[in-house]
Amino acid sequence: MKGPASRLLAVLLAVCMLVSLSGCWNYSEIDDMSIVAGVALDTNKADNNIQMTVEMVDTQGGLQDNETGFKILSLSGDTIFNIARSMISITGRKLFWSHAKVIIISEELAREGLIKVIDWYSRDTETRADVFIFISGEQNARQVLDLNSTKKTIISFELAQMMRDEKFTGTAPVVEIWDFIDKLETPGKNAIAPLINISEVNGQKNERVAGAAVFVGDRMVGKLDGKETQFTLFAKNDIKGGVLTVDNERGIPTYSLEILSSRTKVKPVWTGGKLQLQVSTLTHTGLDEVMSTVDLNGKESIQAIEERASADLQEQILAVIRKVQREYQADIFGFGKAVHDDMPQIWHGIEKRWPQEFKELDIKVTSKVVIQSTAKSSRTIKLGD
Amino acid sequence: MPIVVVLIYVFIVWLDAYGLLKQGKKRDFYMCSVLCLISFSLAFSLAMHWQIPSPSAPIVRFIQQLF
Amino acid sequence: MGKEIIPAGQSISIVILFIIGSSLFMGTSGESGNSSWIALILAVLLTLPLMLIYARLHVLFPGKNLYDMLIAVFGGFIGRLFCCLYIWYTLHLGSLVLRNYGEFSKTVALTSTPMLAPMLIVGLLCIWAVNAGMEVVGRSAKFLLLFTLAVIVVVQLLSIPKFEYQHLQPLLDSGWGPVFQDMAGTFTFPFAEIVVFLGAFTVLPRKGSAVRVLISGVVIAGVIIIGVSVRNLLVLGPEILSSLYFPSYVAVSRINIGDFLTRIEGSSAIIFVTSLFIKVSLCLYVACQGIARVFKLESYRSVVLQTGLIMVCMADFIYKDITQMQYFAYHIYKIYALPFQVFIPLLLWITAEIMAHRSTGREEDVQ
Repeated sequence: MKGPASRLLAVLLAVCMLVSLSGCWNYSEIDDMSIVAGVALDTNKADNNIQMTVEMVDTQGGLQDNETGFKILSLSGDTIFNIARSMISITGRKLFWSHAKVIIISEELAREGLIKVIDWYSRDTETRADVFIFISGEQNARQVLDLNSTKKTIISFELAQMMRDEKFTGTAPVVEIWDFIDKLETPGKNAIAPLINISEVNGQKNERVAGAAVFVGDRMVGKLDGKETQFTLFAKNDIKGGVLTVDNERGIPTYSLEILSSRTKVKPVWTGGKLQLQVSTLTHTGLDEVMSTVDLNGKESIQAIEERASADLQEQILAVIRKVQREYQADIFGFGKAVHDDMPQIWHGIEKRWPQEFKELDIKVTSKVVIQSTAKSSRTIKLGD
Repeated sequence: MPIVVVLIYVFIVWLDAYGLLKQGKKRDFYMCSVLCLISFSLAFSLAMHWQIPSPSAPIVRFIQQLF
Repeated sequence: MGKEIIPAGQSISIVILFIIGSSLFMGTSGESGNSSWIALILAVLLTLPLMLIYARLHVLFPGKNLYDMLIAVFGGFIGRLFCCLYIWYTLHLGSLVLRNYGEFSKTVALTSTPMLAPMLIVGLLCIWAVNAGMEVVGRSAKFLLLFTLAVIVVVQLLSIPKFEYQHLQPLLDSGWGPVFQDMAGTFTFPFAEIVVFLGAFTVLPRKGSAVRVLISGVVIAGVIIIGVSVRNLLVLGPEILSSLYFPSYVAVSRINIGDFLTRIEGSSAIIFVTSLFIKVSLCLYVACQGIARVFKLESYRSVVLQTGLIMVCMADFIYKDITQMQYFAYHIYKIYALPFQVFIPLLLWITAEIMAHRSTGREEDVQ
């Protein structure tokens, strides 16, 4: 076959192949999917299984409304995947998980053990591992998502935005699922997750993220409040911003230091036959608020404030570490990994009894706070009568 | 689906093996038709969803026996 | 058809793309955890002497490929037997690699597509390329190598913010034993697989060029694989790395630049296809050459289509599922491949040297 006939055949073949091969095997329209924004998981006491609440983005909102609509759906079942698929019988469409941003788990479920609910999320190909994980301090996790009916916004996206800005307050850890699983699997590290509560102010309910839940293995064993969490983050080298309040000489909180940057070094040291961990923090701050009119010299000079802040921080960090050691025996600070990294031989010896060792570990904390600037004004506001 | 496979293979035989015969390469033609038969039987079994024993199984067993 | 000769640059591209082939996405054996980069460096060092042996074979038998050498050295019957072994080995390797690709696309990218579809398309492409001749494969290898290198470098740079250097500590945590195991595993898959290229030696330009081609190819491919493995280790950490089928995919999915450049792992799968295409094409070419030599056919082109189709069909039923594939690739393959990669070439080399020695001795006697 030579000549124009074969050329024509070749072109025809090419066009056919272009049309049929360069597509996908099947396709799905957006109208046929329900996009999931966030998930809440609770225990269902009545049937002794799991209840999953899903917040979905409503794609039928139309172009006139400025806000995106949303829907909420709750279902219970034995396994997570089972529930996810059973939702089709209610929504009429398959759920689309790739845009989910948030997982909220109730405290009860967390105390029972998280692996059974997390495995599906990390294994499935449609779900993404960069969702934020929360533990709900309320009675169940569903209540947090239910807030969207009073607030008229999609709670999950709001929570995700809150997590992105969390570094400016530093009172709750920002934990994505892959990070959580990583800490579960690493020997010498225990996981924490931020707590969500609902606070009611002037009759308006708002969700509030503050504090952390402490895990041993995959079970939740305790809570830390907002302030304690801040110091925990100091010990973990996870502080990127936030505020430190310092008292004046008489013990009244007067100064606010804005944390510009902070670095923590953890060094294990073998002294006198015992393991000692030296935690040293260096924090650069700016003096952002002086709630009095005193001059910034003498007992209230920058130097003095720095020293007071350093001593204060040191004490608080040590207090939090001791509290976690005593009450929860959970190495959420990653001290075990630090020992593993720097002294592998010793780690191999004590790895098996690390929770016990951690409980009696000797910790030394040294903090240094440096005040780099005093923002715009060089002195306090003076009352000139 | 198996019918599609048969049709495609008729086309292939016409292009490939018959083409070789026309060009006079006798040995190539025999080899090509033998291979054609093998690939046709494989493709047909796949299309009919018959179970074909995997060649890696005896290798795995052999190596496992060595250790 | 006349002699096909491709310039050294294109041969080096083929060697590099062949070696990085499926390791780019499948990763290498990870038993030594965070010391796997040491195992990789050792594996590259171990491959270099083997490359020198292969290159020597090229000098001893100029213009001949593996099958000619086997028949010349071992005689008609045994030589043909060894040739059949190598035909099986390259066919099997091609199916393995195609299956890797099929599993990847089924697990990660196109979950509802039956595995045969992407494998068949890539297989047909390889058949077409091999039918067109080795020059086509060489030229496409050169171009594809530049493209692949560009993508790899960009992805490496983009993932730097996600590096956690403490994943490399502590050094040699599990001791030297697993490191040596990993070294043996990485040596056979993927480095020493370049024995397949012996079957294509007829395309090398002139007498001594095999040394340059093989050594530079192995070294550059080694650097690329070490770079990618270290990146995976730094981003993921040794524990998660051991649980994944496709570590590179997950490592790339973590990249997030300013919330704008995210989820680029689908695009980075393109480089998997390009290196795969060259690897399967080379396996197919060598298998067809083998069949042509053993059965004394006029040209290898007559059997390309059928062998390619057999390779694709075999790729479909060679494993039941991905766990079998994982087990075979990391535990069985390193022992099964040793005779093809090391023992028979060594035997060939020693016998060839003895024969060459004897013939020069006889020449001197005659004079």
